[in-house]
Amino acid sequence: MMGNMYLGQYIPGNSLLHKLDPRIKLLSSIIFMIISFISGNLFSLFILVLSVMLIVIFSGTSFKVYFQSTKYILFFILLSCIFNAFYGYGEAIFKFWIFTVTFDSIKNSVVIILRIASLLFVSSSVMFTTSPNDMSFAIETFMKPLSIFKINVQDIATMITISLKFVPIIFEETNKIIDAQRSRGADLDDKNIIKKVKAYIPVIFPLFFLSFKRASDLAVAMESRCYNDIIKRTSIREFKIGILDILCLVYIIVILIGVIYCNYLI
Amino acid sequence: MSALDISGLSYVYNKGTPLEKKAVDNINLSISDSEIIGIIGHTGSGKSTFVQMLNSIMRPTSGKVLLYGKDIWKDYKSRKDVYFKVGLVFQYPEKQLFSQTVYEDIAFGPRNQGLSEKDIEGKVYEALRFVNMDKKFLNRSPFELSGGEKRRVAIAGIFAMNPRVLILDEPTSGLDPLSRENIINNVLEYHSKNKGVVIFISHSMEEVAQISDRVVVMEKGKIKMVDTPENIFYDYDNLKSMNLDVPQVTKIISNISNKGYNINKKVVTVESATDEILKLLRKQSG
Repeated sequence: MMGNMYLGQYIPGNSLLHKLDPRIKLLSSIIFMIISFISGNLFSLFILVLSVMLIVIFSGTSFKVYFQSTKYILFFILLSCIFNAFYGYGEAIFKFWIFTVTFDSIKNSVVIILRIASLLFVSSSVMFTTSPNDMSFAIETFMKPLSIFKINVQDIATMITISLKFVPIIFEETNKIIDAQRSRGADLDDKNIIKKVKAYIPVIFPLFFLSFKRASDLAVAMESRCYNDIIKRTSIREFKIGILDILCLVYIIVILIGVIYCNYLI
Repeated sequence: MSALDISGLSYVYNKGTPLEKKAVDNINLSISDSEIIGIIGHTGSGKSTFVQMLNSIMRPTSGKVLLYGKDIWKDYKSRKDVYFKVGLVFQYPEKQLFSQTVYEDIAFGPRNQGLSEKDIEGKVYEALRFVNMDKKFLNRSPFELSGGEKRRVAIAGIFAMNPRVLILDEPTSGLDPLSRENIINNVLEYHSKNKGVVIFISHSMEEVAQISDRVVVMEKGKIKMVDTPENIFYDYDNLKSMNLDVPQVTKIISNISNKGYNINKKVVTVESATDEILKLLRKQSG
């Protein structure tokens, strides 16, 4: 089965977020992380949710896709928050056996859910709208200060790009091999765990073989194009900070200030 | 009763997501026993998706496939039977080789069919004969064979299951001319003994013209034409508009005809072209 959606898949498009500079997107999402963790009361959470909704709208991807790609994580968080709500301290709203539900515990759960959901949505919006190449360029930029510790930042960036690029390919390859072995009668749906592990040998062996082969092919291809760590390489795409990027930063900083202000309201 | 009855078959990838794509669009086709069907179509025309649904490995978004009158999706548990009845050779099948020896790899299918060791051995030897390989290969590792040999071992793995319907997805792509010819001959030999259905996808118009009884032309998930190779390749302009080609001999005959000679243009194989040209020569001299 080709290309099922998975967490953080790049979706080519032409939205406002697609047009932003990847460095700005990464920086903004880091600032946003801080924002979502300092917003503590209902006013600041309101601002947080509103701004996340705006970002989702500007990413040109529907809310449905966001929920779809984060549904498993959201489910676990929801579950733990529900448990959290039953173990509150303070003035009880109602009591049942050993469970005490308090206003504080409910509020706490809501805060945690909203914080983590907005975090997930914002980081997803960056992943959805940034191609792996652009992403590794942004990561490289932010790791540049590390080069004073004699760390080869460019190599790390290349490694990240290659890994990101090969995830969907290996994903697809795995599915193809599974289909091929299944159509030869392999029993991959067995409930028995030991039998299941054994049944997957015809899938894992060819996959390893192909992965090693691909890695060595790639190494030869890169070396024959004179890839080494002596030469300083430049990017094929030039990124320039534009008016849109500045607006994005202004937007994020306004939210940051707004959230800090609201935190002192109550 | 026809061997395969396909009605209203459609498949949509990533339904309900921004990456939604209609790969196969309302296909209706009826294939009778002992027929050889060649499928041609430009890259991305939905050929592979289409054939994978015939073997029940992919579930269609809508539509039905009747295999000898039985709906292959009716009973989930009988899917394994469908796999064995409809053998599918995937694209680049050598990628699925995994065992330490060629014998074990070919025996994988029959073993999953639940045959006895003795029967399995018989099936493996028979499959090896179909692909024209020596018994000394059986103890070697499949990973140390050449590309063409690997491909033949992988195809033998399907032959060993003795499927009634054999489907091959570009069985000759990426091979040298001799290996290509070998594989085509292997398939013909299997067909002549088994008398079942053979469905194969190819980008080589020569191969399609050479062995198919009927040719299916696909474009953008739809069937555009179904006819004998002679009639299909007669319509060069239409094929060209779909980024497809005709066999070289057909072009030669068509050129001769365009030069004003009276020759039968419905020619797709080297043999029939030779006959037609000789006929013309005799007429000229006589």
